[in-house]
Amino acid sequence: MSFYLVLFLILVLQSSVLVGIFKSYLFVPDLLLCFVFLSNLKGQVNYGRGFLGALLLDLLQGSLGWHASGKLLALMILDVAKKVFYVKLISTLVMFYVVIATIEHAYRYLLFRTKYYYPLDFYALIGFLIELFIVYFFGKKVLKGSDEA
Amino acid sequence: MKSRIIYVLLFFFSALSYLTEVYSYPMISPIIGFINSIFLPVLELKSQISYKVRDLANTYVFLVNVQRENKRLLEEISRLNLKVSELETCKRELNQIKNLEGFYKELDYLIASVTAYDPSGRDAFIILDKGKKDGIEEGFVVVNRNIFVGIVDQVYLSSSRVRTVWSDAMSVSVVVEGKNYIYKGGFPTGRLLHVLQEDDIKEGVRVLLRSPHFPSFEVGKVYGPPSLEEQFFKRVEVKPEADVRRMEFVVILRRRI
Repeated sequence: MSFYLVLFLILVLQSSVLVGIFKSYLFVPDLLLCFVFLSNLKGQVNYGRGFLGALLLDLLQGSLGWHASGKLLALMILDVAKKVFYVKLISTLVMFYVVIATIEHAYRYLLFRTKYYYPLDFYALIGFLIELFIVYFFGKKVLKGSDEA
Repeated sequence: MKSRIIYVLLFFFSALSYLTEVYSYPMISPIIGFINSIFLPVLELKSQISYKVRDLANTYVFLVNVQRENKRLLEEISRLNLKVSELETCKRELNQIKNLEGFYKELDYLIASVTAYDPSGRDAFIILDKGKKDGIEEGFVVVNRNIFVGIVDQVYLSSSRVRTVWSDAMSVSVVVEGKNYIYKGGFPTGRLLHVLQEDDIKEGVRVLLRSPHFPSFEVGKVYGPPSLEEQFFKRVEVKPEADVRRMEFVVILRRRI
C-alpha cells in the first residue's frame, strides 16, 4: 500500500509541480525512475509495478508509451545487471544508477527527438543531479535496511 | 521467462504507440477518451498546480532579479553620491577662484564676418568687417566656438586683418598635457618649439592656448609621431583645428593674450 501512496505522490510531483519549475517534461528530474530503481534493488524485479507507474505518468502527461517504454527498458537493464553485480556500497549503487539512468534518459530523449525538436538545456543537468542526490539519500537507507535484514 | 517476453513485447508496443501516436487512431481514441474522462479532475488539478508553480517560480526569479538590480542601483547611488560631493567641492573652489579680484572677468566679445581670405591659399590671414570704429585693437584674440583662430594684427577704420594659426608669423604660448610650449604657426602644419626628448607627447593630443584671461581654446592636435630634430629637442608637428575657409563668422574677444 505504501508503494502506491509514494507512487501517487511522485506522479503528482513529477507531472505538475516539477514541470512548473523545470519548464519542460524533458528536464524534470525523473523521480519515478529513482523510485522504481530503489524499490527493485532488492529481491526480484517487479515489472508490473514499474510499468503501471510509468503508464499513469504517461496518462497524466499525455505522452502514452514514452515513460512506459523507458521504465521497462530500465527495469530490463536492472534485471540483467543484478545478475552480474552485487550492490553493497552506496558508491556502487550511485554508479549503477548513473549508468541505467543515462541509458534510460538517452533512450527517451532520442524517442522524443524523432517526433519533436526541443533544445537541451542546463536544467537537464540540474534534474539529473537532483536524481542522483535522491538516489544517494534514499539508497543509503535501502542498503542499511537490507543489511539489518 | 514467459512474463519477461511479455514485458519485452510491452516495451516495443509502448515505444511504437508513442512514435505512432496510437491514441489518436479512431479505434483507440474512444478508449483513451474514456480513460481521460476518468482522469479529467486529476488532469485539471495537475494543470492548475503546474500553472501555479510556474507562476511562483517566475515570480521568484523576477524578485531575485529585482533584488540584484536594487543592489546594483544602491552601489551606483553611493558612487554617484561620492561624485556629487566631489563636484560640489569643485564648484565651491571654482567660485572661490572667480571671486579672486582681477583674476577673471566676463569676456567682452564682438561677432565679425569674414570678408576676405589669404589669396596665396596658405590661410595665413583673414580680413574681418570690424575695425577701429568698432573698438577693435591690435592683439585681440579671434576664436570660432572653442577653436583659436588667430590674433588681430592690423586694424583699419572699418576692417581688420587677423593673423591665423596657419601663419608662419604666429607664435603663441600653448599647453600640451599640462606642460607649456611655444606654438609656431605654419602651413600645412605648425609645430611646437623646444620639445625635450624625454617629453612624452603622443599623436592626436590636443594643443590648447595658454592664457590666464581666457578659457583653454584649442589650437590644434599633435600630427604624426614626434621625430628627432636636434640634440636635445624633437620635432612635433601640430595640425591647426581652425578651418578658416569654412568660417563665415568669428568672435573677436576684446582682450589681448
